[in-house]
Amino acid sequence: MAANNKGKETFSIMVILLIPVAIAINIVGGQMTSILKIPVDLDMIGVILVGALAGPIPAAVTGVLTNLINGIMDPTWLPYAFVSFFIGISSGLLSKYNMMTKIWKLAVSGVIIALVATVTATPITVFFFGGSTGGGSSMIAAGLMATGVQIIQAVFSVYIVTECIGKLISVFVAYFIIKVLPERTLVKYRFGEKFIKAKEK
Amino acid sequence: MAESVQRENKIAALYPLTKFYMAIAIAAAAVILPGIPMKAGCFVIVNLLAFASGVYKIFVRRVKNSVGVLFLILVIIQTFFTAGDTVLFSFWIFTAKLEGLLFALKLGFILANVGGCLIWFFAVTTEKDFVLALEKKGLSPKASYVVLSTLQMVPVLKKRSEVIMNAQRARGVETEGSLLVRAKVFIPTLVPLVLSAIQGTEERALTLEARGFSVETKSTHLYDIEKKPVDNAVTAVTAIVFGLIIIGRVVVWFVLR
Repeated sequence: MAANNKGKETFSIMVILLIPVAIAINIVGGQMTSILKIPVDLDMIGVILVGALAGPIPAAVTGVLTNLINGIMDPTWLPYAFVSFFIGISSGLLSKYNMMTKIWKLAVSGVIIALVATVTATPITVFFFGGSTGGGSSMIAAGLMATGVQIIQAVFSVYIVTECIGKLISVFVAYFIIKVLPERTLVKYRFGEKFIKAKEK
Repeated sequence: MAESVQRENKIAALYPLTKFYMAIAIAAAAVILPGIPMKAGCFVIVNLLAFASGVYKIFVRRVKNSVGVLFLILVIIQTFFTAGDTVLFSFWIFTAKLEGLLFALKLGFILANVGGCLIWFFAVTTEKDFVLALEKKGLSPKASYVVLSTLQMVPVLKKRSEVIMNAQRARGVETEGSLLVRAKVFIPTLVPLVLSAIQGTEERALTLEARGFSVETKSTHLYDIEKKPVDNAVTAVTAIVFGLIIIGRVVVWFVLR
Protein backbone atom coordinates (compact mmCIF):
# COMPACT_ATOMS: atom_id res chain seq x y z
CA MET A 1 0.00 0.00 0.00
CA ALA A 2 2.66 2.46 0.99
CA ALA A 3 5.20 1.12 -1.46
CA ASN A 4 3.25 1.42 -4.70
CA ASN A 5 2.20 5.05 -4.47
CA LYS A 6 5.39 6.33 -2.82
CA GLY A 7 3.55 7.51 0.27
CA LYS A 8 1.81 10.32 -1.55
CA GLU A 9 -1.54 9.81 0.15
CA THR A 10 -2.32 11.83 3.29
CA PHE A 11 -1.99 8.99 5.79
CA SER A 12 0.54 6.56 4.33
CA ILE A 13 2.21 4.19 6.75
CA MET A 14 5.31 6.43 6.79
CA VAL A 15 3.15 9.33 7.98
CA ILE A 16 1.40 7.16 10.57
CA LEU A 17 4.84 6.25 11.90
CA LEU A 18 6.14 9.82 11.69
CA ILE A 19 3.32 11.20 13.86
CA PRO A 20 4.34 9.40 17.11
CA VAL A 21 7.95 10.44 16.54
CA ALA A 22 6.88 14.04 16.02
CA ILE A 23 4.69 14.05 19.14
CA ALA A 24 7.58 12.63 21.14
CA ILE A 25 9.86 15.34 19.71
CA ASN A 26 7.35 17.98 20.80
CA ILE A 27 7.20 16.60 24.32
CA VAL A 28 10.93 15.93 24.70
CA GLY A 29 11.73 19.31 23.10
CA GLY A 30 9.45 20.99 25.61
CA GLN A 31 11.12 19.15 28.48
CA MET A 32 14.60 19.98 27.19
CA THR A 33 13.84 23.69 27.23
CA SER A 34 12.93 23.36 30.90
CA ILE A 35 16.03 21.23 31.69
CA LEU A 36 18.30 23.75 29.94
CA LYS A 37 16.24 26.61 31.44
CA ILE A 38 15.66 28.25 28.05
CA PRO A 39 12.81 30.73 28.49
CA VAL A 40 11.02 30.02 25.16
CA ASP A 41 8.46 27.36 24.31
CA LEU A 42 9.88 24.94 21.75
CA ASP A 43 7.11 22.37 22.04
CA MET A 44 5.80 22.57 18.48
CA ILE A 45 8.93 21.59 16.50
CA GLY A 46 7.47 18.17 15.67
CA VAL A 47 4.22 19.70 14.40
CA ILE A 48 6.09 22.09 12.10
CA LEU A 49 8.29 19.21 10.92
CA VAL A 50 5.27 17.07 10.01
CA GLY A 51 3.63 20.08 8.36
CA ALA A 52 6.71 20.68 6.22
CA LEU A 53 7.07 17.02 5.22
CA ALA A 54 3.56 15.57 5.13
CA GLY A 55 1.09 18.45 4.82
CA PRO A 56 -1.58 20.22 6.87
CA ILE A 57 -3.87 17.37 7.97
CA PRO A 58 -1.17 15.08 9.46
CA ALA A 59 0.38 18.13 11.15
CA ALA A 60 -2.96 19.13 12.65
CA VAL A 61 -3.43 15.57 13.92
CA THR A 62 0.07 15.68 15.43
CA GLY A 63 -0.68 18.97 17.14
CA VAL A 64 -4.00 17.89 18.61
CA LEU A 65 -2.57 14.56 19.82
CA THR A 66 0.41 16.32 21.41
CA ASN A 67 -1.96 18.37 23.52
CA LEU A 68 -4.19 15.40 24.35
CA ILE A 69 -1.21 13.33 25.50
CA ASN A 70 0.26 16.20 27.50
CA GLY A 71 -3.24 16.65 28.87
CA ILE A 72 -3.09 13.24 30.56
CA MET A 73 -0.64 14.67 33.08
CA ASP A 74 -1.75 18.30 32.98
CA PRO A 75 -5.32 18.93 31.74
CA THR A 76 -4.64 22.64 31.25
CA TRP A 77 -3.07 21.62 27.92
CA LEU A 78 -6.38 20.40 26.53
CA PRO A 79 -8.05 23.67 25.43
CA TYR A 80 -4.87 24.62 23.58
CA ALA A 81 -5.34 21.60 21.27
CA PHE A 82 -7.31 24.11 19.20
CA VAL A 83 -4.15 26.26 18.87
CA SER A 84 -1.99 23.28 17.90
CA PHE A 85 -4.54 22.31 15.27
CA PHE A 86 -4.15 25.68 13.56
CA ILE A 87 -0.36 25.67 13.94
CA GLY A 88 -0.37 22.32 12.14
CA ILE A 89 -2.71 23.50 9.36
CA SER A 90 -0.74 26.70 8.80
CA SER A 91 2.68 25.03 8.73
CA GLY A 92 1.36 22.40 6.30
CA LEU A 93 -0.09 25.05 3.99
CA LEU A 94 3.09 27.15 4.17
CA SER A 95 5.08 24.10 3.09
CA LYS A 96 2.59 23.35 0.32
CA TYR A 97 3.14 26.81 -1.15
CA ASN A 98 6.93 26.44 -0.95
CA MET A 99 7.38 28.79 1.99
CA MET A 100 9.80 26.53 3.87
CA THR A 101 12.75 26.29 1.51
CA LYS A 102 14.75 29.52 1.87
CA ILE A 103 15.99 31.48 4.86
CA TRP A 104 13.80 34.58 4.26
CA LYS A 105 10.79 32.39 3.51
CA LEU A 106 11.38 30.51 6.77
CA ALA A 107 11.45 33.78 8.69
CA VAL A 108 8.14 34.84 7.10
CA SER A 109 6.65 31.39 7.86
CA GLY A 110 7.79 31.62 11.47
CA VAL A 111 6.07 34.98 11.92
CA ILE A 112 2.88 33.74 10.22
CA ILE A 113 2.75 30.64 12.45
CA ALA A 114 3.38 32.84 15.50
CA LEU A 115 0.50 35.13 14.48
CA VAL A 116 -1.82 32.16 14.03
CA ALA A 117 -0.77 30.82 17.44
CA THR A 118 -1.27 34.20 19.15
CA VAL A 119 -4.68 34.86 17.61
CA THR A 120 -5.96 31.40 18.57
CA ALA A 121 -4.32 31.16 22.01
CA THR A 122 -5.31 34.60 23.35
CA PRO A 123 -9.09 33.97 23.49
CA ILE A 124 -8.49 30.57 25.14
CA THR A 125 -6.27 32.06 27.84
CA VAL A 126 -8.67 34.94 28.47
CA PHE A 127 -12.01 33.07 28.41
CA PHE A 128 -11.04 29.63 29.72
CA PHE A 129 -8.41 30.64 32.22
CA GLY A 130 -9.31 34.25 33.01
CA GLY A 131 -5.98 35.53 31.69
CA SER A 132 -3.78 33.11 33.59
CA THR A 133 -1.29 31.08 31.55
CA GLY A 134 0.39 29.41 34.50
CA GLY A 135 4.00 30.23 33.73
CA GLY A 136 6.57 33.00 33.90
CA SER A 137 4.82 34.79 31.05
CA SER A 138 1.64 35.30 33.08
CA MET A 139 3.70 37.28 35.58
CA ILE A 140 4.70 39.65 32.78
CA ALA A 141 1.04 39.80 31.71
CA ALA A 142 0.05 40.60 35.30
CA GLY A 143 2.69 43.34 35.37
CA LEU A 144 1.17 44.87 32.23
CA MET A 145 -2.30 44.66 33.76
CA ALA A 146 -1.03 46.52 36.84
CA THR A 147 -0.17 49.44 34.60
CA GLY A 148 -3.80 49.60 33.52
CA VAL A 149 -3.77 47.51 30.33
CA GLN A 150 -6.88 45.39 29.66
CA ILE A 151 -6.49 41.65 30.31
CA ILE A 152 -7.01 40.65 26.68
CA GLN A 153 -4.48 43.23 25.43
CA ALA A 154 -1.93 42.22 28.07
CA VAL A 155 -2.20 38.52 27.18
CA PHE A 156 -2.06 39.30 23.47
CA SER A 157 1.06 41.45 23.74
CA VAL A 158 2.88 38.87 25.87
CA TYR A 159 1.96 36.09 23.46
CA ILE A 160 2.96 37.97 20.32
CA VAL A 161 6.50 38.40 21.69
CA THR A 162 7.00 34.91 23.16
CA GLU A 163 5.34 33.17 20.19
CA CYS A 164 7.38 35.07 17.60
CA ILE A 165 10.64 34.08 19.28
CA GLY A 166 9.53 30.49 19.94
CA LYS A 167 8.03 29.79 16.53
CA LEU A 168 10.90 31.40 14.61
CA ILE A 169 13.39 29.18 16.43
CA SER A 170 11.11 26.15 15.99
CA VAL A 171 10.78 26.70 12.23
CA PHE A 172 14.55 26.98 11.84
CA VAL A 173 15.19 23.89 13.97
CA ALA A 174 12.64 21.94 11.90
CA TYR A 175 14.29 23.13 8.68
CA PHE A 176 17.71 22.18 10.02
CA ILE A 177 16.45 18.67 10.77
CA ILE A 178 14.98 18.33 7.26
CA LYS A 179 18.26 19.54 5.76
CA VAL A 180 20.25 16.75 7.42
CA LEU A 181 17.65 14.04 6.69
CA PRO A 182 18.91 11.76 3.90
CA GLU A 183 17.12 12.03 0.55
CA ARG A 184 16.01 8.42 0.64
CA THR A 185 13.96 9.29 3.72
CA LEU A 186 12.68 12.62 2.41
CA VAL A 187 11.34 11.10 -0.79
CA LYS A 188 8.92 8.96 1.18
CA TYR A 189 6.93 11.99 2.37
CA ARG A 190 4.45 14.03 0.36
CA PHE A 191 6.39 17.31 0.32
CA GLY A 192 9.85 15.72 0.66
CA GLU A 193 10.78 16.38 -2.95
CA LYS A 194 10.50 20.14 -2.44
CA PHE A 195 13.38 19.95 0.02
CA ILE A 196 15.45 17.67 -2.22
CA LYS A 197 15.07 20.20 -5.05
CA ALA A 198 16.01 23.00 -2.68
CA LYS A 199 19.14 21.10 -1.72
CA GLU A 200 20.27 20.67 -5.33
CA LYS A 201 20.22 24.40 -6.02
CA MET B 1 1.96 4.08 36.12
CA ALA B 2 -1.47 3.07 37.42
CA GLU B 3 -0.84 -0.63 37.03
CA SER B 4 0.10 -1.23 40.64
CA VAL B 5 -3.16 0.12 42.04
CA GLN B 6 -5.35 -1.45 39.41
CA ARG B 7 -7.58 -4.47 39.88
CA GLU B 8 -7.34 -4.53 43.68
CA ASN B 9 -9.40 -1.40 44.08
CA LYS B 10 -13.08 -1.81 43.15
CA ILE B 11 -13.42 1.62 41.53
CA ALA B 12 -10.15 1.41 39.63
CA ALA B 13 -11.11 -2.03 38.31
CA LEU B 14 -14.20 -0.71 36.50
CA TYR B 15 -14.33 -0.74 32.71
CA PRO B 16 -12.48 2.34 31.29
CA LEU B 17 -15.54 3.83 29.63
CA THR B 18 -17.57 3.49 32.84
CA LYS B 19 -14.96 5.56 34.65
CA PHE B 20 -14.84 7.97 31.73
CA TYR B 21 -18.63 8.55 31.90
CA MET B 22 -18.30 9.17 35.64
CA ALA B 23 -15.54 11.74 35.09
CA ILE B 24 -17.50 13.51 32.33
CA ALA B 25 -20.68 13.54 34.44
CA ILE B 26 -18.98 15.13 37.44
CA ALA B 27 -17.15 17.67 35.28
CA ALA B 28 -20.37 18.61 33.45
CA ALA B 29 -22.26 18.81 36.76
CA ALA B 30 -19.65 21.25 38.07
CA VAL B 31 -20.18 23.47 35.02
CA ILE B 32 -23.99 23.30 35.22
CA LEU B 33 -24.51 23.71 38.98
CA PRO B 34 -24.84 27.35 40.06
CA GLY B 35 -22.91 29.10 42.79
CA ILE B 36 -19.45 28.70 44.24
CA PRO B 37 -20.45 26.43 47.19
CA MET B 38 -22.04 23.85 44.84
CA LYS B 39 -18.99 23.85 42.57
CA ALA B 40 -16.71 23.50 45.59
CA GLY B 41 -18.91 20.61 46.68
CA CYS B 42 -18.32 18.90 43.33
CA PHE B 43 -14.58 19.28 43.87
CA VAL B 44 -14.94 17.61 47.28
CA ILE B 45 -16.67 14.70 45.54
CA VAL B 46 -13.80 14.39 43.04
CA ASN B 47 -11.36 14.35 45.93
CA LEU B 48 -13.36 11.66 47.76
CA LEU B 49 -13.50 9.64 44.55
CA ALA B 50 -9.72 9.86 44.13
CA PHE B 51 -9.24 8.88 47.77
CA ALA B 52 -11.60 5.92 47.47
CA SER B 53 -9.81 4.75 44.31
CA GLY B 54 -6.50 4.64 46.17
CA VAL B 55 -4.71 7.16 43.94
CA TYR B 56 -4.94 10.17 46.25
CA LYS B 57 -1.20 10.85 46.35
CA ILE B 58 -0.79 11.00 42.56
CA PHE B 59 -4.05 12.93 42.28
CA VAL B 60 -3.03 15.64 44.74
CA ARG B 61 0.41 16.06 43.19
CA ARG B 62 -0.90 16.42 39.63
CA VAL B 63 -3.76 18.72 40.60
CA LYS B 64 -1.37 20.93 42.56
CA ASN B 65 1.09 21.19 39.66
CA SER B 66 -1.42 21.90 36.91
CA VAL B 67 -4.76 23.34 37.97
CA GLY B 68 -3.49 24.51 41.37
CA VAL B 69 -0.91 26.91 39.94
CA LEU B 70 -3.42 28.17 37.41
CA PHE B 71 -6.07 28.73 40.08
CA LEU B 72 -3.68 30.83 42.15
CA ILE B 73 -2.60 33.07 39.27
CA LEU B 74 -6.20 33.34 38.13
CA VAL B 75 -7.31 34.59 41.56
CA ILE B 76 -4.49 37.14 41.69
CA ILE B 77 -5.12 38.46 38.17
CA GLN B 78 -8.90 38.64 38.43
CA THR B 79 -9.02 40.07 41.97
CA PHE B 80 -6.61 42.89 41.32
CA PHE B 81 -7.03 43.71 37.65
CA THR B 82 -10.72 43.54 36.80
CA ALA B 83 -13.11 46.43 37.10
CA GLY B 84 -15.45 46.36 40.11
CA ASP B 85 -17.03 48.63 42.68
CA THR B 86 -16.81 46.62 45.91
CA VAL B 87 -13.31 47.19 47.24
CA LEU B 88 -12.13 44.52 49.66
CA PHE B 89 -8.80 46.07 50.61
CA SER B 90 -6.01 47.95 48.89
CA PHE B 91 -2.29 48.38 49.30
CA TRP B 92 0.28 50.30 47.29
CA ILE B 93 -1.09 50.44 43.71
CA PHE B 94 -3.24 47.32 44.05
CA THR B 95 -6.92 47.23 44.88
CA ALA B 96 -8.67 43.92 45.54
CA LYS B 97 -12.23 43.83 44.22
CA LEU B 98 -14.97 41.45 45.32
CA GLU B 99 -16.42 41.00 41.82
CA GLY B 100 -13.06 39.84 40.48
CA LEU B 101 -12.52 37.45 43.37
CA LEU B 102 -15.96 35.88 42.96
CA PHE B 103 -15.46 35.50 39.21
CA ALA B 104 -12.04 33.93 39.80
CA LEU B 105 -13.41 31.47 42.37
CA LYS B 106 -16.25 30.47 40.07
CA LEU B 107 -14.01 29.91 37.05
CA GLY B 108 -11.29 28.39 39.23
CA PHE B 109 -13.62 25.75 40.68
CA ILE B 110 -14.92 24.85 37.23
CA LEU B 111 -11.31 24.39 36.07
CA ALA B 112 -10.41 22.45 39.20
CA ASN B 113 -13.37 20.13 38.69
CA VAL B 114 -12.85 19.47 34.98
CA GLY B 115 -9.09 19.10 35.46
CA GLY B 116 -9.51 17.03 38.61
CA CYS B 117 -11.92 14.63 36.91
CA LEU B 118 -9.53 14.05 34.02
CA ILE B 119 -6.56 13.63 36.36
CA TRP B 120 -8.53 11.13 38.44
CA PHE B 121 -9.59 9.28 35.29
CA PHE B 122 -6.05 8.87 33.97
CA ALA B 123 -4.72 8.02 37.41
CA VAL B 124 -7.07 5.02 37.69
CA THR B 125 -7.00 3.99 34.03
CA THR B 126 -4.02 2.88 31.99
CA GLU B 127 -3.95 4.57 28.58
CA LYS B 128 -3.73 1.09 27.07
CA ASP B 129 -7.10 0.06 28.54
CA PHE B 130 -8.73 3.34 27.55
CA VAL B 131 -7.53 3.15 23.94
CA LEU B 132 -8.60 -0.51 23.72
CA ALA B 133 -12.06 0.40 25.01
CA LEU B 134 -12.28 3.21 22.45
CA GLU B 135 -11.18 0.83 19.71
CA LYS B 136 -14.05 -1.48 20.63
CA LYS B 137 -16.36 1.52 20.27
CA GLY B 138 -15.13 2.04 16.71
CA LEU B 139 -11.83 3.97 16.89
CA SER B 140 -9.60 3.02 13.97
CA PRO B 141 -6.80 0.60 14.94
CA LYS B 142 -4.33 2.91 13.18
CA ALA B 143 -5.32 5.79 15.44
CA SER B 144 -4.95 3.64 18.53
CA TYR B 145 -1.54 2.50 17.28
CA VAL B 146 -0.45 6.13 16.94
CA VAL B 147 -1.53 6.95 20.50
CA LEU B 148 -0.03 3.86 22.10
CA SER B 149 3.25 4.04 20.23
CA THR B 150 3.60 7.71 21.18
CA LEU B 151 3.15 6.83 24.84
CA GLN B 152 5.88 4.23 24.50
CA MET B 153 8.17 6.49 22.56
CA VAL B 154 8.17 9.51 24.88
CA PRO B 155 10.11 7.88 27.77
CA VAL B 156 12.47 6.14 25.32
CA LEU B 157 13.32 9.37 23.51
CA LYS B 158 13.61 11.24 26.79
CA LYS B 159 16.16 8.75 28.02
CA ARG B 160 18.01 8.90 24.71
CA SER B 161 18.11 12.70 24.84
CA GLU B 162 19.85 12.46 28.22
CA VAL B 163 22.38 9.99 26.76
CA ILE B 164 23.05 12.29 23.80
CA MET B 165 23.39 15.30 26.08
CA ASN B 166 25.93 13.42 28.20
CA ALA B 167 27.82 12.31 25.10
CA GLN B 168 27.98 15.88 23.82
CA ARG B 169 29.14 17.03 27.23
CA ALA B 170 31.93 14.44 27.09
CA ARG B 171 32.98 15.93 23.74
CA GLY B 172 33.27 19.32 25.40
CA VAL B 173 29.90 20.92 24.57
CA GLU B 174 28.98 23.11 27.50
CA THR B 175 25.52 22.52 29.01
CA GLU B 176 25.75 25.04 31.80
CA GLY B 177 26.45 28.75 31.80
CA SER B 178 24.81 31.73 30.18
CA LEU B 179 21.55 31.51 28.24
CA LEU B 180 23.31 31.50 24.88
CA VAL B 181 25.61 28.65 25.95
CA ARG B 182 22.66 26.59 27.14
CA ALA B 183 20.62 27.37 24.03
CA LYS B 184 23.48 26.15 21.84
CA VAL B 185 23.20 22.62 23.33
CA PHE B 186 19.66 22.34 22.05
CA ILE B 187 20.56 21.69 18.41
CA PRO B 188 23.39 19.13 18.95
CA THR B 189 21.05 17.18 21.23
CA LEU B 190 17.80 17.41 19.33
CA VAL B 191 19.12 16.74 15.81
CA PRO B 192 20.75 13.33 16.50
CA LEU B 193 17.69 12.38 18.53
CA VAL B 194 15.25 13.21 15.74
CA LEU B 195 17.41 11.67 13.02
CA SER B 196 17.74 8.34 14.80
CA ALA B 197 14.01 8.33 15.61
CA ILE B 198 13.02 9.04 12.00
CA GLN B 199 15.43 6.44 10.65
CA GLY B 200 13.90 3.97 13.07
CA THR B 201 10.46 4.50 11.51
CA GLU B 202 11.58 2.83 8.27
CA GLU B 203 12.43 -0.38 10.07
CA ARG B 204 9.22 -0.17 12.03
CA ALA B 205 7.23 0.26 8.80
CA LEU B 206 8.73 -2.99 7.47
CA THR B 207 8.06 -4.79 10.74
CA LEU B 208 4.45 -3.61 10.87
CA GLU B 209 3.78 -4.47 7.24
CA ALA B 210 5.25 -7.94 7.79
CA ARG B 211 2.59 -8.37 10.49
CA GLY B 212 -0.26 -7.22 8.30
CA PHE B 213 -0.75 -3.71 9.76
CA SER B 214 -2.39 -2.36 6.59
CA VAL B 215 -4.63 -5.37 6.03
CA GLU B 216 -8.25 -4.25 6.05
CA THR B 217 -9.78 -6.88 8.29
CA LYS B 218 -11.03 -6.83 11.84
CA SER B 219 -8.03 -7.09 14.12
CA THR B 220 -7.84 -9.39 17.13
CA HIS B 221 -6.23 -8.59 20.47
CA LEU B 222 -3.80 -10.51 22.64
CA TYR B 223 -4.71 -8.26 25.55
CA ASP B 224 -8.39 -7.86 26.23
CA ILE B 225 -10.75 -6.27 28.75
CA GLU B 226 -14.42 -7.07 29.32
CA LYS B 227 -17.39 -5.12 30.62
CA LYS B 228 -18.85 -6.58 33.83
CA PRO B 229 -22.46 -6.36 35.09
CA VAL B 230 -21.35 -3.85 37.74
CA ASP B 231 -20.26 -1.50 34.93
CA ASN B 232 -23.77 -1.33 33.53
CA ALA B 233 -25.12 -0.63 37.02
CA VAL B 234 -22.60 2.16 37.67
CA THR B 235 -23.23 3.71 34.24
CA ALA B 236 -26.98 3.63 34.86
CA VAL B 237 -26.63 5.25 38.30
CA THR B 238 -24.32 7.93 36.84
CA ALA B 239 -26.82 8.66 34.06
CA ILE B 240 -29.76 8.88 36.50
CA VAL B 241 -27.93 11.19 38.93
CA PHE B 242 -26.74 13.37 36.08
CA GLY B 243 -30.27 13.47 34.62
CA LEU B 244 -31.65 14.55 38.02
CA ILE B 245 -29.05 17.32 38.25
CA ILE B 246 -30.06 18.66 34.83
CA ILE B 247 -33.79 18.47 35.69
CA GLY B 248 -33.15 20.18 39.03
CA ARG B 249 -31.17 22.94 37.34
CA VAL B 250 -33.88 23.56 34.76
CA VAL B 251 -36.60 23.61 37.44
CA VAL B 252 -34.62 26.08 39.57
CA TRP B 253 -34.05 28.25 36.52
CA PHE B 254 -37.79 28.34 35.72
CA VAL B 255 -38.77 29.07 39.33
CA LEU B 256 -36.26 31.91 39.63
CA ARG B 257 -37.48 33.41 36.38
